Amino acid sequence: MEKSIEAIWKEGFLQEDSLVAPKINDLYNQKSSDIVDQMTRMYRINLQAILAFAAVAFIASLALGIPYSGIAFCSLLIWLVIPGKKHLKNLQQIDKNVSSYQYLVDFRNWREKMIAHYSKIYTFFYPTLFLIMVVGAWSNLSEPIQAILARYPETELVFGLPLWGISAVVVITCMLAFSAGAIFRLDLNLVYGKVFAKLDEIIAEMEELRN
Amino acid sequence: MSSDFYIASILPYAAIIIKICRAYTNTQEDFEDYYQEVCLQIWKSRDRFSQQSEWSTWVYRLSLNVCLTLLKKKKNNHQHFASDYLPSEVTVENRAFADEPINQLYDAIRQLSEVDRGVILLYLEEKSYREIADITGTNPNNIGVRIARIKERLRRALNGKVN
Repeated sequence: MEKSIEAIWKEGFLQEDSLVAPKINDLYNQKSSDIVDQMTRMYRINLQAILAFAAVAFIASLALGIPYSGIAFCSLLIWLVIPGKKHLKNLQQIDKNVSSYQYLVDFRNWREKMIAHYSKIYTFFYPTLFLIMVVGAWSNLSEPIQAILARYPETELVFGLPLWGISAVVVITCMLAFSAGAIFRLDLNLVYGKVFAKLDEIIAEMEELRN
Repeated sequence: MSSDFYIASILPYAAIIIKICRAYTNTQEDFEDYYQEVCLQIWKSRDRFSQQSEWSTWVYRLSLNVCLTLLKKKKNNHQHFASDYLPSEVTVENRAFADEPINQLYDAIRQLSEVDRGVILLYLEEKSYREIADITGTNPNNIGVRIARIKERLRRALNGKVN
């Protein structure tokens, strides 16, 4: 006689003892695969790496005799870390002890806030970083640059700077500002694209069930 | 993890975790990873447990949330949990997983979407529509219709071997 789905389920687990739990060893020291934990780890490592890089860059700038560029670069990196710490704290506060829908929505909200915030930050970060590099290069290489310019007296100058150079810097700065958000999203999607897509899909299906 | 906590607070509810993790994984290796992850998250989140719900309901909720968002790469081979995946010490009498109908049912459940898997598991565990809606965060009025659709899909997947 055909059985119902419910009957198959019940009979399949009649002996609860037969549900053999896998052995777990040293569980607490294991790396978690949960998305929130993974993002937390990635975030913390990123922030630590940025701070370490800022310190190294500052020391290098002193050694190279370009302390002002070093200070500007360090300040820029620290500006990147401060909101990161805030986002990290918010991420750690996401509670798994809520309904599945709420949990996923909380995570999606965090993700969206973080992406929107960092997209704005990078819109200024990349161009400013580029300008710091240009100014640093100009102040340190002004003599050889002036020597080159002297060979081309017909070069049009604005405030003593070649017009083509200024134009190139302006174009590159604008391009960096324009594409910063997209670069950041692309970067994030390369790593977490599939998981984010899966989350959006699950949330969409749950919203269908809510309405 | 304190083994006391595992023995007292997780092991008595291991059946819940096992049933959920099996629905979200295709191989014994993935299943064990998911099981471990759920246990780890229960341990990490235990301070957030409020007495408003029962511990078992909380375990369902947390297990589902963890399984829905695990980053572990799933294996592509859709091998069900056949007897060769069972630990060698498991006796024939204890092999509920090797039982064909339940294996076929699990295979059919795994073909459902992530959300439907959660809903049908809770239904099969005799949770009320209200509880299912509460755990998943959906509308209880829609649960009944959804369950009827899922069961129909399962019947088709099982080639009409069930009623």
